[in-house]
Amino acid sequence: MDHDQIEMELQRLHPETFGWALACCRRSRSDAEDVMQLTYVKVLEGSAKFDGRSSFRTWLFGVVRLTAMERQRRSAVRNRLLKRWFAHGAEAQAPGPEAAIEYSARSQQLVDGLKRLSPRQSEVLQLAFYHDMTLEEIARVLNLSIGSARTHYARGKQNLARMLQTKTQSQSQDQ
Amino acid sequence: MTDPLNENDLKAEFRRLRETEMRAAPSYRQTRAGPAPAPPRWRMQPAMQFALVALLVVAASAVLFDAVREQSMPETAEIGPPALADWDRLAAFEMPTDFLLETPWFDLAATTPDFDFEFPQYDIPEDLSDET
Repeated sequence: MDHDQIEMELQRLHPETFGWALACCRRSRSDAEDVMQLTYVKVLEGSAKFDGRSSFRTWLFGVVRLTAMERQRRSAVRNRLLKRWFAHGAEAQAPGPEAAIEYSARSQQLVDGLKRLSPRQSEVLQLAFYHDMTLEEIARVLNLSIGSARTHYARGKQNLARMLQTKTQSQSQDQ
Repeated sequence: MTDPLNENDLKAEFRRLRETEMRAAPSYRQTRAGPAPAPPRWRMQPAMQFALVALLVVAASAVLFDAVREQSMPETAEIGPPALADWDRLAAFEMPTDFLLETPWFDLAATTPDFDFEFPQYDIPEDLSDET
C-alpha cells in the first residue's frame, strides 16, 4: 500500500477507529484522540508498517491498542511520580468535563458494565459487537489464540448480560 | 451461554453506543493534525547567539582590564631627581644576591703580596732607560 492508499483507508476507518480508541482508553475522549493522533503519525511516517498478513482494519486496531497501552504505561509512571510529589497529582490528570461524551442512560449502563469487566473480556466484546469482527480477527487484534478469544467472548458476554439485567431489574423495582 | 434474545439485546445496546460515539468523533483532519501548535517563539540563530555572547565577553574584559590598569599605574607627573639622602641610601644598597657575582680569591688578586725580602735595586743606564 502506498502513502495515499493508507491515508484513504485511515480516513474511511476514522469514525470506527475512534470507537476502538475510546474502548482502549476506558472511554476517555481526550486520551482516545491523543492515541489516534499518535497512531496516525506512526502509520503515516512508517514506524508501524502494514505487512498485509491481515486486513488493514485488523492491523490498524492492533496498532491503536498497542499505542494506548504504551501511553497508559507512561501516564501511570507519571501519575505515580506526581502522587509522590503532589497530593493532588492524580486529580490534575483527570479529563475535564468538556472531554466527556454524553451517553443516554442505557448506553451509560453499557459503558459502566464494560468498565467492570476484565480488560480482555471488555475488548473482545467491543470488537465482536461494536465492530462486528469475527473471532479470528479478534484474536489477531488482541494477539491471542482463537481458543482464548472464544473463552473471553463467552465469559464476557455472560457477565455483561448479567450486569445489565441486574441493573434493569433494580431500576424497574425503583420505579 | 446466554440465550439468543440476550445476544440480540447486547447487539442493540452496542449499536446504540456505536451511533452515539460515531457522532462525537472528531474530524479526520483535526485528529491527524493533532492539537493546535503553540505560536512560534522568536529564536535567535545559533551564530547570532555566539556573536552576541562573544561581544559581551570582550566588552566585559575590556572594562575589567581598564579598571585594573588604572589602579596599577603610578603617578608620572611628580617624579623628580632624588634627594641627597636618597643617593647615599641607593649607593649603600646591596642586593641579597650580590655574593653570586663575586670572583673566587678576588681578595688575593686585589692585594700586593709580601715576600719578606727586598728586591735588588739595579742601576739602569740612562741610555737604556727609555727603552721599553
